[in-house]
Amino acid sequence: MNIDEWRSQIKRGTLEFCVLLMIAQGECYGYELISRLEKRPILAAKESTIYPLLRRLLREGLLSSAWRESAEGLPPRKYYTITEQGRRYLEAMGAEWDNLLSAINEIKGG
Amino acid sequence: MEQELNAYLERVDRCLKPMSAWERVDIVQEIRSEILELAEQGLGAGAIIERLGAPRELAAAYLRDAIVKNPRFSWRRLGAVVAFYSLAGLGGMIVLPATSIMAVTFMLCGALVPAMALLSLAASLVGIEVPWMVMQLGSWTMPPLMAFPVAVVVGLLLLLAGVGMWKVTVGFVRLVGEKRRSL
Repeated sequence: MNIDEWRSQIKRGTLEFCVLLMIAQGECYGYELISRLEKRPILAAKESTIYPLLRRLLREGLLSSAWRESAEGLPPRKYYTITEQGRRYLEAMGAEWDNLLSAINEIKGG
Repeated sequence: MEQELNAYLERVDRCLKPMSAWERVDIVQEIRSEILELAEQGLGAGAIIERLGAPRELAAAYLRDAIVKNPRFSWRRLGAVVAFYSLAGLGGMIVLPATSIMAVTFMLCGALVPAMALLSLAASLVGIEVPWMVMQLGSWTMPPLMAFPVAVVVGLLLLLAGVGMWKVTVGFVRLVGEKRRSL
């Protein structure tokens, strides 16, 4: 029995959803997303996963980004914001997610 | 410390060659921004590099995503495949060069065959014979008027074969990338 394999499959399938959810709550920069995900082991993801994922979401028009100066002494950061299209996509994902959960619950309840 | 981190970023940048210049700058800037942030928190160069992973692997993640998520053929993406297989170990060294070269060759031949047949047809219409540009089946040489439609069909089949080979290439990149990607 290898639960890790299954867990990483779940993570692969849901990371995009989680990243969009976080950015929808307010603009974020990459490292901020990574360190917030790190606090939840089931969602923790490496730089080599998150940064390419963010690029893809940008390319697909679900996010937009802007480089901005941050606090004094710190380098500029690339902030990500969700677009209108991103919000619609996120809404659809949320509906599917609820759909999945209730289907699982139905099966469990027999 | 700074030297070590700059060398790291340079190595990532070098592995990203097939991406466009502004994309590379943007990627490296973003990683640099995180590196400086981590340093600010008191992490040493060694710990930062360990966290980010080997430069080739970090770069490979970007390349893989650029190939797989946008699988249509382009010369730039072919370049990304070439760069990716140099980072992807033995399987990539054997399978990817073969499938990507076949994809390009089939596609080029698919375009070339009907073009040649059209030329030969045009030449025969004005009464010129081009002996090195004919459709031959065994010892029988097809007349140009008949060779042209045959060439169009052959060209289409070759194009399809090329597209198929490209799909195999992208599929293999996805497979290798998924296996190596530990979340």
